[in-house]
Amino acid sequence: MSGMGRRFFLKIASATGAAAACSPSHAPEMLVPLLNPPENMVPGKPLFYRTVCRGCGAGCGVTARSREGRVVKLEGSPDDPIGGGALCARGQAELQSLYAPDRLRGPLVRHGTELVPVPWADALAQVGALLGKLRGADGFVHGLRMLSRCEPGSTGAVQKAFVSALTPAAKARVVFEPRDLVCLRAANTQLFGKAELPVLDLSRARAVVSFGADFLETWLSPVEQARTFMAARSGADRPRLTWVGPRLSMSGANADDWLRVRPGDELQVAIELLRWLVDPANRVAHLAPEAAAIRAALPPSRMPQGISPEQIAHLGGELSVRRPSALLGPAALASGGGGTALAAAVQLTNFVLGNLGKTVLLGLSSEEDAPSAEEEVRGLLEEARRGEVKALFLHRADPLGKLPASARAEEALRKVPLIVWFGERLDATARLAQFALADHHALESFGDLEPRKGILELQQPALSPLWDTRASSQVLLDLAATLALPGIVDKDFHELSKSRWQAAAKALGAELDSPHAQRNVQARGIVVGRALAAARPLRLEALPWFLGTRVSPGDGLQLVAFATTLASADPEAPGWLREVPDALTGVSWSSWAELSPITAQRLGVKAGNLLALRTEEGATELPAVINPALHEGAVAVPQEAPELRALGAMGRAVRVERTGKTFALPLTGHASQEGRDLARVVPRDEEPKHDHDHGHKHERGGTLVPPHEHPKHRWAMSIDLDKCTGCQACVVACYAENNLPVVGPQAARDGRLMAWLRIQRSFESISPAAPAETRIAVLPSLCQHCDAAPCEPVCPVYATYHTPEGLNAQVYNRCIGTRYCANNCPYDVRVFNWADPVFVEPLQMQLNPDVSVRSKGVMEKCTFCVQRIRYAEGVARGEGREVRDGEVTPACVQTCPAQALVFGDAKDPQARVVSQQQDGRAYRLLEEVNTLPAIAYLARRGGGEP
Amino acid sequence: MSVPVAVAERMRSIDKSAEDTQQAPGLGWGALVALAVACIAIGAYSWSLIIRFGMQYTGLNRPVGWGVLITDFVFWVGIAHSGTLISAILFLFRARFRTAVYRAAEAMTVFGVMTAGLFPIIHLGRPWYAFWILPYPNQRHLQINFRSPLVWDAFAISTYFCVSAMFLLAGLMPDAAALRDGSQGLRRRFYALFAMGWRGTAEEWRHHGRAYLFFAAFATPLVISVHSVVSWDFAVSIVPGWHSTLFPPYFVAGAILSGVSMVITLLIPIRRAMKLEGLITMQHLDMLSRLVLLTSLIVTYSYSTEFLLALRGGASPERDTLLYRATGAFWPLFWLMVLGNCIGPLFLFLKRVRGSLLGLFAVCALVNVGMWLERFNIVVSSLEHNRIPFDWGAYHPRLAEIGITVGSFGWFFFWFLLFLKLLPSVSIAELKEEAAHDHHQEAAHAA
Amino acid sequence: MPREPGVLAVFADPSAAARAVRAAHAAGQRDVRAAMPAPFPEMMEAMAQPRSLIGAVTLCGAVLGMCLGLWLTIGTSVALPISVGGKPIVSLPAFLVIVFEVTVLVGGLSNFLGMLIGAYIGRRKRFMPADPRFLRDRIGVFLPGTSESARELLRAAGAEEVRDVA
Repeated sequence: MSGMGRRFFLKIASATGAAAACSPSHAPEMLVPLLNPPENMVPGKPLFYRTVCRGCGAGCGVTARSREGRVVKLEGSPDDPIGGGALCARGQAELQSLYAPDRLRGPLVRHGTELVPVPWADALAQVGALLGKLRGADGFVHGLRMLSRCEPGSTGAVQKAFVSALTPAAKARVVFEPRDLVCLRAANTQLFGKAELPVLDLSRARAVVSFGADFLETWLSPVEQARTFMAARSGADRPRLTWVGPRLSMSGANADDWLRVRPGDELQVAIELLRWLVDPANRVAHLAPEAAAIRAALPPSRMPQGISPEQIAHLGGELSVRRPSALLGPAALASGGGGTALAAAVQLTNFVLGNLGKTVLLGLSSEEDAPSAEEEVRGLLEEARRGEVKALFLHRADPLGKLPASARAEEALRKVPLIVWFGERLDATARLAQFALADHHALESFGDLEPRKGILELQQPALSPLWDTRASSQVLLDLAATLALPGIVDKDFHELSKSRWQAAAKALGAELDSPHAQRNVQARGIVVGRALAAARPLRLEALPWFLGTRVSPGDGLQLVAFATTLASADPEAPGWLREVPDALTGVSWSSWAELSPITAQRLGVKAGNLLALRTEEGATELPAVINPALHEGAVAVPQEAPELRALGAMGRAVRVERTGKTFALPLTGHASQEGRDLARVVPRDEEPKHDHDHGHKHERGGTLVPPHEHPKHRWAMSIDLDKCTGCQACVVACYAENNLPVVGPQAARDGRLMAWLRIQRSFESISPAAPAETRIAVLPSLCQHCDAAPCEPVCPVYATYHTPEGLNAQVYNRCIGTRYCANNCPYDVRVFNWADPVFVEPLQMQLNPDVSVRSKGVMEKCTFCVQRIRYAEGVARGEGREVRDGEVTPACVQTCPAQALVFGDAKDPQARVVSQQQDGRAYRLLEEVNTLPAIAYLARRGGGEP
Repeated sequence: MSVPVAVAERMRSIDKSAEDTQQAPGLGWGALVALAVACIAIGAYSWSLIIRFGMQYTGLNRPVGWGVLITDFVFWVGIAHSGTLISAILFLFRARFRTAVYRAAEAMTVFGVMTAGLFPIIHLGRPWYAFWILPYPNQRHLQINFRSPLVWDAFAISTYFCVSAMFLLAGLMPDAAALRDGSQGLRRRFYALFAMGWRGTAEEWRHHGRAYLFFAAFATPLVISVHSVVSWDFAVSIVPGWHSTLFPPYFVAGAILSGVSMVITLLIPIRRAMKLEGLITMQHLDMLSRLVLLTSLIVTYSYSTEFLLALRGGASPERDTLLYRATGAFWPLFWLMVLGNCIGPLFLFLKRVRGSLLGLFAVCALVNVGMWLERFNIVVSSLEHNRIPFDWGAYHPRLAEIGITVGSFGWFFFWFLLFLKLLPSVSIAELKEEAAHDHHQEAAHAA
Repeated sequence: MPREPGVLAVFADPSAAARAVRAAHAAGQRDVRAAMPAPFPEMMEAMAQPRSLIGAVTLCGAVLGMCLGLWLTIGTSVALPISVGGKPIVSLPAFLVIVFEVTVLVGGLSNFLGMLIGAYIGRRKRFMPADPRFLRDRIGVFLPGTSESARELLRAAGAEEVRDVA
């Protein structure tokens, strides 16, 4: 480098560093280490930012781990009472939507049929001009409407202000949440006079009955509910979970009892249960005084098909003694009178049993920005169809893609002259817009959120925007400025939201007087105040209305739309959610339609056959999957499937025919464990007592040579099958933490998915005679880090070996790819790189710098997140102490909502993992091969009698 | 005709027929070589795909990590077993019928090992690092894991190759010398190379004799060890269907069965094409076919033991795997294997079959197919049904693997065809020795 | 190779040649040399040569190989003690396979080299006139030093031709 002197070189170096600091999107190209790094940014040292997950309405707090200016991992925020430090699969996958290759990189404007890039200034000027033209003499734009997703915070406030400043029309802004529990809201309105959703505290529930509500995975606030329910389950008095419905969802898989009913008969079960409870003959104590009135209003008894009075009585008896309990329902996509009636019956039962205020809390759901009722959305479309909508603002709302085809949204929207669309990735609706304005991702934007009363979450950017995007609220403010709208004074959205959340925080009792205190709040990212559940009087006059409604399910096949934990069926979902197979069916990268074995046999259908489904609303084709945990009267389709739009909502009668075609369905996982008793169940009554040498029995289990010495640590894990819900948050977290490549549908068909950690589902006790006996067992399977690992001695080049800390290490650079270790692993947890991994720009920015990306031809597998172990050890060393128990958490353990996984040092007698491994239920997988695994499974408890 | 001249006559006729095999090749030979080269090209291209784009070009998956390539490896190692058996073990047993056939068998051994040796490299995920499996001093102080059966393989196979190659060369020296003096030019130099200055003096013969004996003594345990090691690739693992102490003898017997059958399948056309009927007589083939029958019976016994052991005593992964092997996705292959290895050879009890070239050829060809299938069944079905039912999968070979298999046959026959034309495919010296011996026997009888 | 004068006889029949060799020995001619296309037993025993030393060479080779194998397996494992599968650092049973193979390899190599060297020395040390026929269908017997008695003896044994080699 003759031309370049030392000083000049240093200048360049530091300049690069600075550049990297301002624009993280270039950080990976930084070649020289930072010589004078920007404040608090040290290469190789992670930074943690607190923000909030916008994946669903629950609003879990999030800690974003950032390396060299780019976010590499999302984890739950331990300070957050909702998520409680955990994050679900979808939350984990928010990262991939941040780095989505098809994200808008700047504003677009319609040019003929095309949407073409345009500078922000021009875009804003044009929108401003168009709005100006539409403005009448009174300064209003009559016929301006806004359709937005639920925004309980400053964003919503700005939108409301903007809309109300531009049009006098009431309800000009419609909140569009197609997945909202409309029925529950409607029922609460009827019964208690308020369109609200309950907040559940299942930690106190001694019995839970779910009428199709997938409350551990997707329903309401799943992470929180999984945590509280499983906390209760691990207690001495194990609450019983009863599942009522035609299909076992993953929550149903955790149930102790299954009332297997025809689709639509849930309502009948609920009413009969209610009848039993309020029947004086059964002498149920401590009922609400309104019981008599309710009994009077009940319709004549009619037992649903396939349910015996004894079953109802059994369930009723259980609920009468197990107090408080919680009844949940209906499913997310339940709709129409039936759904509302079911929701009402459920809530009424909760009321009668006195669960309200104990386990089912009302009056806590956020006042701000409640989703509008379905009618309002359809009303807006109707207006548009009549040509009354002149300008439509869409904020992350996709009526075209999300509403059933019967809503005829396209026809309506085509009539709107000006559509301004805000979002990250072009959706079906955006393709009709005049302006597609690229919005920040949640991780790039400021904001504040009130997910429920008493909780304020700060949305704070964890990295500077990747592309030329702008916060939609900022755009609205700018427009307001150009149009000189009255009543909108703020110019800067950041300032606005800051003043807003500070006010809210004060109201919650946080003190913000010193800048230091402010910084603390921001560092925590959350303010938690006190909020009490409100007691709601029952509106007796409402009873006849819904108790009168009768839905009589037809005799033919009925459509059941269910929510999947991941999104295999959703073409717009990020790769992780599409690739990780649906835990129940094992399908990835595709939509499907489920049939019960009986129905499939009747129709002569095999898995993968393409089915023609037809309802009165429309028809579509879907590949068949045989689900033993499905009622023969039902055809189940995932709610994310685009094909579902053609068929319309739940409860429709479906005609199913074979097309004769077959579809290569990416399907993984054998259905049964062939009686090998891998995922064990201990009946409640004969549960083995706590004994101390149990763990040791296997440690010493007849080895020719003395077992290993582990001088300092011996990392170990315990997995409680009684708590594991099979939600697969751990799987996605593993993908994120360990740079697992997404390999696509063909690889999935070939059985070459790269997951290190998998949920192995098996259907048990399947018999056509008693389909109601069908149970589902889940078994998280990962490298067992055996003391006597069969994979190690067979490797010719020492590419895998046993570390002094008890890890079964894999040296990628030494591996030559004989695949012998994988063959010899009795647990099948080793993964081979069949091809070089591909990370499409800019997805590679998510890669975790602490973990190397593997090339083709090498073997890989779970490392117990050795990089996280090293990090914790480093921190401990820095503070001159030993590693504390619970300080080291692999990604899977960290994110488990149910806290079924426990990790720690088996040599530390105080460690939780030790007591867990010595529990009476503890066993090792495949003990007969005597591999001395580091992982102990705790057998699932069978539900005993109440 | 006086006695001495008669002996010389016989010797000359042996030389003659040996030299005749070395005549300028005909069109048929050229066509065969061309075909072999074409097959090699197919194999090379198939492998290049795997090297460039990864193992995704095979049908392998999770849980089936080994498939056709490993099957080929075991198959070719098996083929490589007959030669040493015939030339070494039968030599120690002084079985005279070996003299006519052992040269061809030994050549087959060497080329078989050369073919087998390719597969452990081809099937690697990163074949360009194949040399890491050998112990060599390196600055990273990396060593190899001598506990791994794959390292045992590397040592066993290379040792086997060296020893059987030296064995072949030792036997070739006098014959090459004999041909050397009868030829000129390039050919002469070529033979001189293999003759290594052989002159046939009593001094040379006395060393040669001893050395040959020791080679036989070494090769005999070696040939047993090599296929035992190959069987340990499976037996040492804990995969149900692999993990069996029965494997070493079972595999050795199988190897001999496949090897001898291959010898017969090759000899029958060769003796016809090269007019060696005089030297390789029906009696030789008959003895070999008895060997086939014997080993086939051993193999049948092993199969039944394997199954009986697995079926005994309740449900177990072994049982499931074995039943799956016989009734699962590949059941036709399994029963074809039984037909080829167990039932077919039973016909060799009939002298009529042993006596008819066609029958013998058919039986042995079928055995070759059956033995390939045996390895395929063992490798694939066991992996498809491992211990975790959730991972039970299926394996279907892809074009690349089949291409490589075709290539391996091309590679083997390419060398074998060259050998037939360039070196004597019968042991001239030993035949002469016998000729003299026979002559004197006859003379004695006459007197 | 120093040419030596002597008498060379060519035989067509191994037993005749053997007779000649024995006769020569009987006549006190200890140094008899021969060349033949194959190691005819009667000839080899008539020659009554000392037993080849190859056995010793090969044995040394084999022992050397065994030591090499032990050193390689145990030595490297101790030099790089890596714990795999709960097996001891020195797992002899597994190593013995390697030891055996290396033993056979080195033993075989020394055997082969021993033979080549032995044959080479034999050719160099003891002159024997070359004749292509000795590799094909004739046996040559050579008695160093020319004497009428030798010629007689060879003819008597039934040599096809007897000539002096100067």
